Amino acid sequence: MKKSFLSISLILGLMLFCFSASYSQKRIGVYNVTGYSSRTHVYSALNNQNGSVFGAVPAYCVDFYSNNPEFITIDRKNIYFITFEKELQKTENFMDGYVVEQGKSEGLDYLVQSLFDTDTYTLMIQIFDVKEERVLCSSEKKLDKNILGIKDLRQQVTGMLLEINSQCFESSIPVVRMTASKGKKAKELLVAAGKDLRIKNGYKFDVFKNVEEKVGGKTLSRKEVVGKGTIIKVEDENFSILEVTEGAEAVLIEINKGTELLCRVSAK
Amino acid sequence: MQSFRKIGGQKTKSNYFKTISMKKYIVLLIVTFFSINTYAQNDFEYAVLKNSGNKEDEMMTLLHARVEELLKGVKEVHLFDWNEQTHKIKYVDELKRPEKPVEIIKFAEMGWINNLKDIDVTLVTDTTGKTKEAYFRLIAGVRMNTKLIEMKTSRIISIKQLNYGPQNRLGVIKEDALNRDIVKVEKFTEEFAGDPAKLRKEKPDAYAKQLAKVREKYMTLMRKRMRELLVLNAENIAKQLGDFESEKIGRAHRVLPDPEATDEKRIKSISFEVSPQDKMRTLTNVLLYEVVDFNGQKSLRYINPFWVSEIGESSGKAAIANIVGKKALAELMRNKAELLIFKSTMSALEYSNRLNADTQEYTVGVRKTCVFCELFYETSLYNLPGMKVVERNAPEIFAFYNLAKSDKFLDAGSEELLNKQLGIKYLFYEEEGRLLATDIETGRVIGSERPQGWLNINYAIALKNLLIETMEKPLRLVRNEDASKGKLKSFIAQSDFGFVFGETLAVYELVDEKVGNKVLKRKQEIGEASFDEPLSDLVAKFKVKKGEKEIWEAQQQGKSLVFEYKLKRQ
Repeated sequence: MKKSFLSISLILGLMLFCFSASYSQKRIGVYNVTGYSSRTHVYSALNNQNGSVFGAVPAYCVDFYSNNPEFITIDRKNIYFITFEKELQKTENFMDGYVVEQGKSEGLDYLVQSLFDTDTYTLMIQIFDVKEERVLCSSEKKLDKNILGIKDLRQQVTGMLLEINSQCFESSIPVVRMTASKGKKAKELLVAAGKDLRIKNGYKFDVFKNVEEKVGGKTLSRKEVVGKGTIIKVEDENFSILEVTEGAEAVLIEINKGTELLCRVSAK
Repeated sequence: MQSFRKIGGQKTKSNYFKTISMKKYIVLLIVTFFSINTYAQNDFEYAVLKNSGNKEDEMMTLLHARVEELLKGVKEVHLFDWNEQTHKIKYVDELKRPEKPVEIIKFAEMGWINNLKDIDVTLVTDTTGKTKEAYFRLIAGVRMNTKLIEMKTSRIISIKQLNYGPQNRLGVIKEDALNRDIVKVEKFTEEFAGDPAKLRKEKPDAYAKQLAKVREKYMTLMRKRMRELLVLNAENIAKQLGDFESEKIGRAHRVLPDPEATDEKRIKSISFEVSPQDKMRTLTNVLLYEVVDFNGQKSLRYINPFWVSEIGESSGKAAIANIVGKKALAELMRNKAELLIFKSTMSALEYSNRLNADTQEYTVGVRKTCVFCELFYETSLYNLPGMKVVERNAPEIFAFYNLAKSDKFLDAGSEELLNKQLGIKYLFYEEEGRLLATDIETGRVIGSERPQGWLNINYAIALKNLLIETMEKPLRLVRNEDASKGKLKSFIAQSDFGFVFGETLAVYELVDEKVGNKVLKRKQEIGEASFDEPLSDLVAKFKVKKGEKEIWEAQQQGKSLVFEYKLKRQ
């Protein structure tokens, strides 16, 4: 009796754990990019030229979230194919063949919407909370350009998404520890961001600490940049090595003090 | 079949069943059932859906006409004119309509390289630079993509990208074809008003003008030759289009014990079991495989190609296609290894998927806009063990499906072909340089990976890594092969998605890393190994190229190691 009670409790506990593990994942859907004119305040579809460049933004968003274990990504571009396939599988032609389980489609907790201002060349990515029916947070960026046009759009979008992640979902990139130093300078840092966050060699990061500032009667949190660095090695899905390029001494002082250091993609 | 019709048809008397005993009735039912099945297994037909190409292209029209003429003679094959854009199909031979349901559909897309318009002359010179010979070389290359689809499931069972030139299938240039693809400029000094090589070097503009005149003069002859060359290609194309047996998924033929085959000096052929339903013919190319076992997991090891030299009632003989490997083969026969013969690689792959009870099969599809779109991606997926790739861009399949359902084929055993369609579980697609997969059931994107290579894009490794991660089927170390003096020099690894020549594995050590309140697994690359020798379709030997000592030490210290296909670009 005691044994069976224990085993039932164990199974229930395990089920609860699995449920909570899957429940803690956030379901995020990615929608197409929309054009906007800040001059006329009119929303429109992007023209061919802009569409061919910025049509990639939703794809970058899907790619960014797809390997991140904290998220379940739904690519809304696939809705037509999924619906078509499911309807097809309902026909008798599949009766003795192979069919997938129907009615397992998942709803969304959040929507990723992107807006491109054609007048100012500004890209805005928003996270919309479905339950609360409001924009949770957003990131806006006047896109960097070079003589060939937009400068590495994927990197710029990744930077915006990392910023959004830290604003909306409190998921900053922590500095795990220092892996190399020279004299009084920090040389290399191990940071908790890798392939899953689409980090690549050459990405520039700010190393910062959170400080509290008293403004009137309120206490606000401020991100104080102590140094800068460049990713020199993406180790695996979760970790990369950041070479400190600026503020190496300040970074070492903070590490020795035991300050919690974090990273974010540099604005430029 | 006749007895069935008598019972089920109008000739049956109403009191027929009353006059026979129940036992006889059951026996009759069983016999009827088997007769239907035997009939069905043997007598389905095939359809070839061939695009007609540009009708204004005289050469292409000629090529198609010749291919159609040759295919009309193939009894079980029905040829259709196919429009890929509108999905319309039309019988080429109105008189030859299918009498039985179509079992397999072959889609074919043909195009050809026409260099006549801007053909340049080839000049052969001596050491002084003086022209010795001048000729036009005609390129009558035809490229053809074919896709074989099983009608009852919509599953792709073969994808081929073929090129036809003046070669036979062994790559030897046929003499008559070689002579025909060269059109000699007979009096080249007269034609070019001087030595053409010198003219080309000294006065390129004058040479270009002269070349245009010569080209115009020889155009009639060149067109005639081109037609001849294309007709030669047509024979090979028709042969390929009419061949279904070698590409179909067939069964495994067990190799029979043969005392003569155990002696490497006497071995000339091996015997294997066969039945008339297999439609095995002499001169058919077959493939020999051995069933091997690594740590209780069975897989197939490819040995050699053979050709069928003799076919009997219950057994056949396959002759060795080349002299290499006789010793190893005789040894396998002596050791009574489990040897199997297959008609195609796909048949072997299908059999291999059923060797282990825990092998998982994945029904997948590729998001695309036409039958032959995303062909590289689809081929990479199709070549992976355990994958069943379903075609969804060919509504033509359902035209044949509905035909099989119709009253016309009610008695033709078509029920064997109905209601067995395969649904797609995972949808693969490529977007902005990334390979992605979506679960149809839930709509979730289950993973994303980057294809490899710059010019020749390789999807296979990226796909394997994507599948390993999303299907949770990690690479396994079977055993160390060569370890000495504190170094691991080679090992044997197994993957559910197989290995191919040229692949590299990265070896990682897993360490726990505390990040805030969480403990994350960190993969530290400690070595690299490259593909050395295939041991089966799923198992291979790898040579350690980097970190011989580190891997060995990590193993001795009981650290957990992870093996992954190494991507060249991250």
